[in-house]
Amino acid sequence: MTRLMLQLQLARWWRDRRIAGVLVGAVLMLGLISAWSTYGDIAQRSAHTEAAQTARAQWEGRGAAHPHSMAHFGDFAFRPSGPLARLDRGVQARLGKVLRIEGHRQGTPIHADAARAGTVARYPRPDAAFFLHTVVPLLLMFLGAAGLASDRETGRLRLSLVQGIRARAVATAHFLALWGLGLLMLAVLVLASWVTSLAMGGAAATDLVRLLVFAGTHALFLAIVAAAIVAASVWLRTSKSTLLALLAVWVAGTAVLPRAATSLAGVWHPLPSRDAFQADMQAARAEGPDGHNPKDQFVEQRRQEILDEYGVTSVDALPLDFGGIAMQLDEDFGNRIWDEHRGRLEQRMRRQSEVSSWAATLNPFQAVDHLSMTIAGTDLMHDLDFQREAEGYRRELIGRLNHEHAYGGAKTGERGFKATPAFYASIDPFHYAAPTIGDLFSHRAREFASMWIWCVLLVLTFRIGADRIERGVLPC
Amino acid sequence: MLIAESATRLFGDVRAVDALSLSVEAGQLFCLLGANGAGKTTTINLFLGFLAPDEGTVSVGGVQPSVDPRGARRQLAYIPENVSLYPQLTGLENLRLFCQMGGAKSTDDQLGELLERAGLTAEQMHRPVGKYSKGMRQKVGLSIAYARGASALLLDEPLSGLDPAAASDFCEELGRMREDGAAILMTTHDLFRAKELGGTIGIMRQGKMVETLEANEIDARDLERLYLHHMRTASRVTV
Repeated sequence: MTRLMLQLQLARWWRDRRIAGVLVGAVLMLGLISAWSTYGDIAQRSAHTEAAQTARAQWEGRGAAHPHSMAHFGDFAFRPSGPLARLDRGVQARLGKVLRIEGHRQGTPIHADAARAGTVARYPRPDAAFFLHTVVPLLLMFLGAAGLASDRETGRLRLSLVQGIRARAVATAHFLALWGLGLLMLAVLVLASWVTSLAMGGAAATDLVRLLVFAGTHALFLAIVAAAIVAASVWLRTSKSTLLALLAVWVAGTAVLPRAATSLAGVWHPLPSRDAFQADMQAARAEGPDGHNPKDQFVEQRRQEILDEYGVTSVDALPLDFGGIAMQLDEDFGNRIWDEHRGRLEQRMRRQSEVSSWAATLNPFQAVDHLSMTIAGTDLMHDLDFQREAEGYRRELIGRLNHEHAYGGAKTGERGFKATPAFYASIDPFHYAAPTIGDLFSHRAREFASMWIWCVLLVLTFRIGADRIERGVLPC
Repeated sequence: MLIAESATRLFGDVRAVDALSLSVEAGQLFCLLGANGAGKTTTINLFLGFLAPDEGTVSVGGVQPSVDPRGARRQLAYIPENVSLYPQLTGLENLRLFCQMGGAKSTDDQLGELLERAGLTAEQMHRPVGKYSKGMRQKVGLSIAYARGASALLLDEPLSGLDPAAASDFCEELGRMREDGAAILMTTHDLFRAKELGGTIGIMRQGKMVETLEANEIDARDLERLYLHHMRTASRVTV
C-alpha cells in the first residue's frame, strides 16, 4: 500500500505542470551550481599550485644570500582548498588561504577580524551546501504542505481510509516521496560535482569516501526534513497552518537559531579583536629578548653563556656567528609568547564552537551545516590545523636559517656571508595535507547523534499522528 | 447492519449527537433530514470511525468502529458531499487507485463498466478529474462505492449541488444498490428526494432524532410541514 501511495504521489507531481516545471528547473539549477562551483574550486586549486610554484621559484631563485635576509624574504604557506570545498566552502572563504612565513613573525590570525574566527555565522553562501541546507528544504516544505495536509483538507484522505488503506501507509508514502525527491536533488548535486571534477582531472580516490559520507549525512538531513513536513501535516489541521508552521521552523532553523547561538557564544567566550591580540603579543614580546639589539640584556646574557662555553672573551674569537644564536633566542621567546596567546585564543574559539555544537543538537539545520563543513574539510577545526602546521613549518624553516646563520661558516659580524643556493634548495617547501575525515569526525559526534535522534523522533511523531487519525482521535 | 444505540457525541458542552438510536438493515434506505448542525454528519462520522461516541454504541455489521475502525470500514462504502479525487489523474485512474487501496484488482474494462453504469461516457472517464464538474465527480464516487461491493453505504449529502438530472440519475443508482441488498444511510436537505427514494426518514434536531417515519406513510406536503414544524420548534428552543 505504501508503494501504491508513493507511486500516486510521484504521479501527482509529475502530472502537475507547474510542480513538474519547478522540480525540473530546481534539479537543473542544482546540477549547474554544483558543476560551476566544482569548476571554480578546481581552477582555484590550479592557481594555488601555480602560485606556490612561483613562490618556490622565487625562494630558490634568490641564489646565494645571507640566511637572515632570507628569513625576512620569507615564504608563503598555501592552504589547499578543503577536499570537498567545491560542495561546501565553509568558513574557509572568509579565513583566507595564504599564510606569510617570516622570521620573528608568527602567522598572525589571517582572518580579517579574529573575533569572527570562531563563529559559524556564514549565511548565506552561494555554494552547493547552501542550496542543500536551505533551498531544497524550503522547496520540499511547499510541496509537502500541498500534499498530505491538502488531502486531509479536501477529504481525499478520508475517502482513502474508508477504502481500507492505513493512515500510516499514506503518511509513510508521503515521507518517502518527499525524501526521494530530496535524494534526487542530492544525487544530481553530488554527481554533477563528481563528473565535473573527473572531467577536469581533479578527482581523487580519497575524495570519493568524503563524497559518500557527505551524501549519507545529507540524506539523513533530508529524511529529517521530510519527516518534519509529514509530522506537521499529520498534527496540524490545514495545509495553510502546516505551511506556516514549517516556514516558521525554516526561518528559525536557518537564520534565527544559528545567529542566536553565535551571538551567545560570542558573549560567553568573547574573542579579542585582531588589533588587541597583536598589541598584547607585542607587549609580551617587548619583555623578552630582541635579537636585532646587541645591547639587549637577554642577548648579552646569552652571549656570555656562549663565550663561557667556548672559553673565549670576545665574540670575534668564536668559531661561529653569534648573530644567528641571538636570532634564535629571539625566535624561541617569540614562539613561547605565541603559544600562550594563540593557545588562549584557540581555546576560546573551541569554547565558542562547543556552544554552537550544543545549540546544533536542537537545530538539525545547524547540525548538518557543521557536519557538512567538517566533511568538506572547510570548518574551523581544519583551519586551526592548517595554522598549526604552517606555524610548525615556519619554526623549522627559521630554525634552519638561524642555524646556518650561526654555524654555516660565518664569524660574528661577517655581513658578507652567503649561504649557498643548494642549502636553500635543501629546505623542503611547505606541504599541507588536510586531516583525514576520521580524525575530525569525532568532533561532530554530538551533531551526528542528534540528527539520528531527530530523525527517529519525527518519524515516530508522524506515525503516531497517523494512527490517531485512523482511530478518529485526530480529525480527518 | 448499521446500528446506533443511545449514541452520544459531545464537542465540549455541545451534544452534537444526543442519545441517537437507529437501525438500517440490509436492503433498507434510511434518510436523515435536519438543519445544518443537527448532527447528521457527526452521525455519519460515528459510523465511519472518524469519531468515537462518548456514550452508547455504534456498530457496522456487529463491529464497533471506535474499537476496530478498519474492520468496520471494510464493510462500508462512503460518498461525501464533495467527492474529492486526485485532479491530476483521470476518472478511470482514480477509480483504479481507490479500488487498489481496498485491495481489489480489476481490469480496465471492468472499471470502465462501473463508470459507465454511474453515467460517465468513455471519453469523460479518460479526462483528468481536475476538469470534471461536481456531478461527474459524484459519479466517480458512486463507481468507487459500486466497486467496493460493500454491504453498507454511507452518503453525506451526496445530492447537494447536483443538477436535477444528475440527482435523478444518482437516486436511480441508489435504488439499484438498495435492491442489491445494501443498507444505505443518507443525510440530505432534499425532502423531495428523501420521499421519492422511499425507505425510512428520520428528522434530527440538535443531535436528537425527533421523528422517524416511513416514506410511504406520508405525502410530500405533510413531510415538508412536519419538517418545518420541527425546525421552527428548534429555532424557538435555540432563541
